[in-house]
Amino acid sequence: MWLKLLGAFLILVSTSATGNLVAKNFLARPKQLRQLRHALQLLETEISYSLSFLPQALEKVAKAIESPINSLFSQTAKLLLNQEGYTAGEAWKMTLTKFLPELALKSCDEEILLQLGNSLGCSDRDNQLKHLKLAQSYLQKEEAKAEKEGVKNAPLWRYCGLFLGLTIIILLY
Amino acid sequence: MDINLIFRIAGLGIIISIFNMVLKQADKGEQAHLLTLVGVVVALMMVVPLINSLFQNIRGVFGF
Repeated sequence: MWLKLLGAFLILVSTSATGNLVAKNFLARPKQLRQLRHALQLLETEISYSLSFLPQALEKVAKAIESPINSLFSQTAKLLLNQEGYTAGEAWKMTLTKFLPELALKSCDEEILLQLGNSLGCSDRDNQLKHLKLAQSYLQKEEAKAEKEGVKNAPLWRYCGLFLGLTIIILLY
Repeated sequence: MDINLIFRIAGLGIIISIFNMVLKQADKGEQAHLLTLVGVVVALMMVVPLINSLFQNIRGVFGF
């Protein structure tokens, strides 16, 4: 009798935990988009006011942003400082393909970032700043959409996990 | 034929109706309908062995 109860409890806990994980992913996306936008703003400030080189600017931004977004910038800076001959755009793209599976961002966010990579380090300062501002505005739109989606979907997936557990328990009781 | 089957089907029905409400509230009408269909199929699968034994009994009673 107690063993049955324990088994039922374990099933419930595992399915609700799975639902919670999926819900957390939905909630993390707007936060990461906001951090990314903040990071691009800092990069813009670094480029326009301190006139630093790109790797140093990226490193400063990486120090100021919290994980997981800072790994994007610190890795790109490392690749550029190692002087293995990569252009800024290539280093950015390599870092993106390596780190994007770990982030909660979707493919449309990835496209925005890849587009940004195409223009990194290729133009003069004003054009660079314009591209950064453009990427920031796209990210802001995505952030608003992601916030709405997150608020709608997160409780749904939480309940989904809970109810799946309850259904399995009732069927197996 | 035990009374637990009725309670199980009732519990399943309650949970599916609650989940149906949650899905409708989150603007996912098609998935709510799909869920109702799945619930009906599961309840039917729980009942089919009983219907089978009912028919066997009837065949036994009438001798064919």
